[in-house]
Amino acid sequence: MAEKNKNQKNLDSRFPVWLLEKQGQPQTGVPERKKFRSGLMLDRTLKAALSFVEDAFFNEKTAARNGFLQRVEPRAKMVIIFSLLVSLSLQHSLPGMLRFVVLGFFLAVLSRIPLNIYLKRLLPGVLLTTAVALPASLGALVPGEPIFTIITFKKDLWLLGHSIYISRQGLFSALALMARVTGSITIVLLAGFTTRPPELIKAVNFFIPGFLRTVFSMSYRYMFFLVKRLEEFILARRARGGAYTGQAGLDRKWVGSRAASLLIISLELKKELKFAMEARGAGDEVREAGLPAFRFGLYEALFLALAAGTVII
Amino acid sequence: MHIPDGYLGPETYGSFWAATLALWYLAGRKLKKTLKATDAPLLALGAAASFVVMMFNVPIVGGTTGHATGATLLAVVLGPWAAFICMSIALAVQALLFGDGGITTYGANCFNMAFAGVFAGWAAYRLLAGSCASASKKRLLFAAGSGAYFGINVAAFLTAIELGIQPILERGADGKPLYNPFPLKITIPAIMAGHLTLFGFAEAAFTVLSIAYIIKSHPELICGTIAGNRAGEKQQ
Repeated sequence: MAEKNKNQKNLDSRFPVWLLEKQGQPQTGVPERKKFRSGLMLDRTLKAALSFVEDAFFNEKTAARNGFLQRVEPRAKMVIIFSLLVSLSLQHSLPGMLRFVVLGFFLAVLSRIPLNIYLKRLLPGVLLTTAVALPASLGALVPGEPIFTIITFKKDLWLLGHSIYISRQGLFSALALMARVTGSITIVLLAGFTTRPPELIKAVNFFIPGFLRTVFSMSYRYMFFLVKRLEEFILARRARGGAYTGQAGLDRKWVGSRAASLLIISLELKKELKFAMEARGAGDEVREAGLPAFRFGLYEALFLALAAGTVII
Repeated sequence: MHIPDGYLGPETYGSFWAATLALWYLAGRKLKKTLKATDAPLLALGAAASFVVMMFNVPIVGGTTGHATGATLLAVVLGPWAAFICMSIALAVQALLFGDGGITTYGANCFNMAFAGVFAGWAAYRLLAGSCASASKKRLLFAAGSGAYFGINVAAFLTAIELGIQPILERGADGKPLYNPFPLKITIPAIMAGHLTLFGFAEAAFTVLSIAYIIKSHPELICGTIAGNRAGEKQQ
């Protein structure tokens, strides 16, 4: 204890008094609760920006793994995945839809996608759809043959009728929506997880005509540039702790001005890029490096067979 | 407002894919008249900006937040056809790489948000702003805010209609809905209530504040579309 007091005294003598004073949070005159709400707005925006970079980084990482879908030619993969989604949308039976969910998970395992990450991306969409779909099982929303009565009233109530019940048609609709959405997400996620984003963009570009092809492939690169700027805006504001106003009006003003700044930065940058392109001799047509020549080998045939099998069985 | 895969039946999403493909063709032809290949970065950066703008959480009330679409903002700065293309690309990246919005429903999402939302907002803005060169700053801001409110509500209304007609269009043999099961009497109030009272005003405030900042710092960007901006560059 005596040793500790001695050390403290030594410390006190070496540093000026103002530096040793206990510092609280920056005093802004804004109640803590309001600061929290204001911080929430920044946090959510920052979270969206960071998750974009994080997801893109993770997609690159899983796309580099030595898995099944990683070996499939990106254009062939996109066509088969789109065909699977259309086939799923044409299914009218629950087992038919669930086959696509099973196929999605089977391909995820074959492609060495970490299942915890796969589920993490899958769950928000599935949970949201579950919350949206479940009320559809009630007879008041989708009338039909009652299979389970939850409560019966003595007289008819507005919108509800004389009872709240689960209808067979409603339950099917709710389950069908959940199965269809889950199947679709499991399949769509495979494209992102097993194809490097630039290759995925090039694969989609193959189906886009002329001028728009150049625009599409360029835009993905600039998204990273602008997301980086957005992160800088937010971190700069957070670094100035006192900048939390806690007043929705001022916070909205900040959001508006930063969004406008991003647009202005884009338009300024566009001039420089245009001059750079013209300096390199770009004329009426801009050539973009595409994917290597299309091939349809063993892995493409296997993927097609698996997809066709799921649709036909 | 992004409709995921599975909510719309093939007849509906197929029709919207066809409509959106036709609109892209039209947009390509319109833009080809004003843009050269070396102007591709303008649209690419516009698309990137549109994508990033959708990440912004706008404070609404009681500590809640909603995200902006920036449809009218883009239409005012870039012109409606360029904004349509930019938003379409942003929606494509969201759907393909991050599973936000569906692939089969992509045509419908583009039609609602990138086409109807942008053009409705732009039309309201132009109607209320009148001659841009002679309009006062207050009038321009009022027009932009009203356009944003109108645009996002038109997009939301179309979304509600498309979802609400599914039980009529796509039913099984015993009358069970095969896709979105909720009828129009539920989808319209459920979607419009939030947009008419909260998200519409948040979008309007976001657009007004962004346009106010642009008028203050880069006034040459307002009152022009891409052609206007190019004229501005020549003057410099």
